[in-house]
Amino acid sequence: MNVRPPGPTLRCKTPRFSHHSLAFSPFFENRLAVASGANFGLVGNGRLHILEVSEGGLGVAKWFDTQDCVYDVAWNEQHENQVLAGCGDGGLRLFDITLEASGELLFCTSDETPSSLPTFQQRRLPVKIWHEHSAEIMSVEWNNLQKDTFCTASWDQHVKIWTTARQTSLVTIPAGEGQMYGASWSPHTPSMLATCGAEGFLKIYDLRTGDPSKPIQGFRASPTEVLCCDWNKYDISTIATASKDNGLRIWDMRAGTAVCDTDFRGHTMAVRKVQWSPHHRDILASSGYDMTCRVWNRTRPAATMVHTDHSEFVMGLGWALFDPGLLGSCAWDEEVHLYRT
Amino acid sequence: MSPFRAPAFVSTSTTGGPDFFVTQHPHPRHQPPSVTNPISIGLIDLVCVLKNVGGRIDRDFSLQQDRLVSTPNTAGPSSHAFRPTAPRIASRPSVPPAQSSPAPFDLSSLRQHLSPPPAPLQSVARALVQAGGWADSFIPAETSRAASSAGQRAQSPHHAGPSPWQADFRNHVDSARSSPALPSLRQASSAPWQRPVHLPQYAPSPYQHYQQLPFVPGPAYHHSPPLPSIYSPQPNHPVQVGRPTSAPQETSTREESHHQEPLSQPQDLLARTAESLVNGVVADEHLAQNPKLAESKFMALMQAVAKGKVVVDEGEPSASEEVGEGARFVERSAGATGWTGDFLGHPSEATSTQAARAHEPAVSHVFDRAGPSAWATQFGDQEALVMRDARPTTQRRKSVHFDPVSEPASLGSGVPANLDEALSHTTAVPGAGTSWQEQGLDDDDFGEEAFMNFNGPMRVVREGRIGVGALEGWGALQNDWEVFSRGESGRQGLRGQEMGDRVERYLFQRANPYAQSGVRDDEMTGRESPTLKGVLELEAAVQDDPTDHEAWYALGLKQQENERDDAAILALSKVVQLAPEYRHAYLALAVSYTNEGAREAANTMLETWLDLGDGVSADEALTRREALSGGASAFGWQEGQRRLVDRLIDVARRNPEDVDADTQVALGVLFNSSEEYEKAEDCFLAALSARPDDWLLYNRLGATLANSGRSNEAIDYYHKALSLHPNFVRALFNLGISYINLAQYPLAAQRVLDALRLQHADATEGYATGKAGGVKGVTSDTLWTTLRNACLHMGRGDLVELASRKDITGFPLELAGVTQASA
Repeated sequence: MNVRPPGPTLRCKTPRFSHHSLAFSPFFENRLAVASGANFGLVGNGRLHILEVSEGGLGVAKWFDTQDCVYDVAWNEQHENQVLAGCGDGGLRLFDITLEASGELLFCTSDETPSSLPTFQQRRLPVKIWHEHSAEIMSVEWNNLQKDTFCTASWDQHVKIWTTARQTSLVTIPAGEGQMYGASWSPHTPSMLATCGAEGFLKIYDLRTGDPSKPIQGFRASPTEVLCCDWNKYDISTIATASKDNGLRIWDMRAGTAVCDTDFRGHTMAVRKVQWSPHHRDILASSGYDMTCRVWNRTRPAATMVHTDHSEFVMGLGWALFDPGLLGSCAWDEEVHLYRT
Repeated sequence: MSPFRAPAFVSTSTTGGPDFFVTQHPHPRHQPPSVTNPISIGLIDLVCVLKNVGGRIDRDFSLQQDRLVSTPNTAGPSSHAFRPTAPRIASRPSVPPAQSSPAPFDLSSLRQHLSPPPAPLQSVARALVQAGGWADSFIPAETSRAASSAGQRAQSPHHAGPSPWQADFRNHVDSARSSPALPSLRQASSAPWQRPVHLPQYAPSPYQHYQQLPFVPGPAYHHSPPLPSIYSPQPNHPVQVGRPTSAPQETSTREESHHQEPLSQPQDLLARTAESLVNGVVADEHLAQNPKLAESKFMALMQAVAKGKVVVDEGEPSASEEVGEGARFVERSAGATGWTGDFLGHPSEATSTQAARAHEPAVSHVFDRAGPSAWATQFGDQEALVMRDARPTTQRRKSVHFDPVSEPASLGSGVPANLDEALSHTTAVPGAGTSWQEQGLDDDDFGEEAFMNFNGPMRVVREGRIGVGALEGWGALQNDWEVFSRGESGRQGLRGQEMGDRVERYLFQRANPYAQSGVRDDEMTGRESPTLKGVLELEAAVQDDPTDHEAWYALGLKQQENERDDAAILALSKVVQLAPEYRHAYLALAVSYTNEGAREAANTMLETWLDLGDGVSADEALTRREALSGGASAFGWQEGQRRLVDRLIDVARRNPEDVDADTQVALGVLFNSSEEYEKAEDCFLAALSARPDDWLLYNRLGATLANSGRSNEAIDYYHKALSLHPNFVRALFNLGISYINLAQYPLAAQRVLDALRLQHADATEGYATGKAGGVKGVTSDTLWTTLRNACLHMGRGDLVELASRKDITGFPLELAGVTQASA
């Protein structure tokens, strides 16, 4: 706990690359990975940024270029230097961030953008590549309990389970009609995961069952597309969903039925991401197309905090794992913000 | 394609469930509220379309380039490595993709890529029509609209709206209209329905797919650029599929074509999508007035794309083996000079190395039509990596790309030199191992700090929702009741502990043969546990002598065991009334309250239980609690719980060699209610060491394991409990829940059915009336719901029907599925 960001928002701008997702390292408190792409991810190259917080502020420590936009990123739970990128071409790339010496750390304070990034061509190639999905990979999540597996959700309507040791996926789940937007491991049972997608259903799968492609539970979480889902880290069967109808809902899935526990209203456009606090049972954060990032408490109907500094759609969101209350968000405005809630 | 078509999806049980401690709580059902903001839905939909269209353009062009455009740089087999064809394994989950060859044209898999599926888009489009008006050129039904719609669109009123960012672009709109900016539309009208005869020869192209989709309007979309016959007036169209030309020629034709070239088909689709997005935003008052949206660069870009001012241009494959040029938005017309830079551009930066730059001249040569505009420098350094060697389709062994040159001999230790090393590189960070190991605490190390580290702050939210009041359906009164109960001290606010008129009495069952005849099986009394008797027998005993607190206590325990905590609480409360010093009743009450989710009450009972253990009289304990509650109420029940845990641990430490099972049980109950299952497990194990024959403990231990997601381990303990007490309804039911969690539905249904039968057998009313209606209310709803879920999973519609009617007599003695499963 050496470096703690101060009170005001820390910012970092990555010119030309707008962000889609953000993940804090589970090993280093000051390190986070950001998934980015040129042209808002619509066309063009992608880039995986590794950001670090230091005395100078928040800065880009390293980056990795990819052919297609990077939509989501996850840290290897077993290896502190490996980070996995899910790309727009359906490929997965595992990078080792120590592999090559990067340029010096570049810092930007909240007022200025870095004048330039290192000019020399750096060849940073992934240590491993998987390519099975045939469409954009929207979500990548590492299993917190069984730490050698991870799952991906793709617009090709499939969710896949992988392990680092194998070149092919372990399980493929045809998880619905239409694009899949998210797949999330249960933080309590290493073999369970929840998926959500364009068809508006939230489905729970258990890999222990005879047919892992058959959900053990499923319910309609939104009349429209569900863009993100996240398990409560404390309540074993509570899950939050973010959907296109501006909805942010908490579901209680005990007793075989899903009951909408709380329905937060506040976002004025679709909600893209939702994440429960790893440190508090009742607190969750959401971000969306209304360019805001909101923090909620389950016991209160209105948002406890609204972050409005982003000037484009806020696509990525993450709680710091070592610093309770520290929240990071990233957006299409090419900025990463780090602030206290 | 997918087995989940059925719209009426069956919701079934998963985790949690009515196990020993976490019981079901009827929640007020909230239906998800209906859509509030149709436009924002449209917005995101279209963003999806856009992304996919963009991506498709990406791919399509690359395919064409791979096949047909033979530039010096990409000639030869190496060109195929650029933008590898994704293995189309989407609909075949079990097929390892590595084996699938570059797919032949597969319409179904292609359809999967299209976003969004046709029907939704159409509906969204329709929805937006009602809000705006843009879709007049978008809805298939109106395909008769001809090319002039472009002009009409530009003049249509919503483009003249007051939105600030629109004003910025109006000039360009005008210029685009005056110049032949959208000739494609006109052309399309001249040759609308010429289905491409050569299409099959472009097998990997998804164009055909587009044309079969309902949302693709007719004429405008059929001017597919790869079809030279349609484009005879413009033989120099840049994308020259079917006419393989050499690269220099290609470049020159592109140069000549300038901005007058029509939008290619995907470009056009993209433009339309962007247009619909932009118009959708304009049409919505709320969004149009959103200042942030107005300033959004993304919206500005969409605006430009919609107007055809900016198109997506596919990047060039590069000279270098691993670096390619990504697709990007480029300015299309010569009219506008600086403005694309305003929203696309960033200060041009230092560019990359010579290697990456090798193709730069060609690129700018091709695209730099309007003289040296800004974009070329802006986008010059958008190199990307092309991982050609790592394509899984080729199943190469070598998936690690450490360039021999940069192979880091210079880099110090700790840097892996190859894949194996990188993957086997053990982490230096502690706790990063493979196995799932909670870094648990020592059993006796329950420090406060460790507590919080382990669990985080304790939960608050549930108590308001799942209090006993909710069970009673008090609805709106619930909050008032809670406020009241918090204000009142001690036992007054608790169910079953009311004073005076508000006392809720235990309801005896009618027609109790034991009571009427006076027949009592006296041999039964010789047994060690009262709970081995039937409910009716125990009730009769109570009615015999209503002041006998022991009888009440036995009845309470029995009801508890029978999964009827409601009744148990009432009976046990009677015990406490009759004999305030009867210590065991408080512990039993605490268990029942915990099952009902009434934590405060459980804490109160436990505290009294402790006080009595310390030799304090019940009255004293009450006053002491009242004195305490003044200070404690500020912290709520969590504070009380912490205090309790501390006290209990104290008690347990007093005589460490002699484990007091009751203390351990109390601790276990507490840890369960705070969902600290690992600690609870330890407590129950300790209690079991003192009382190895207590079936209640086995059941509690099993429930604890099941609640923490370890149903498979729990099953052993349930069986143990049942072997000690075969009529243990609660254990049977818990066993059923665990089987459901493990997806063993026939087994689960059998267990729950057995539990129901046992419960049923203890109730006379079911036998007396013989009707389903009479049974209702006696057997617990939880059991029926669970049984119904299990039957649903088994696909036994007949049984589901029975379960819905709560008709136990209709069920077969043995469920057929069980014999099958065991066979």
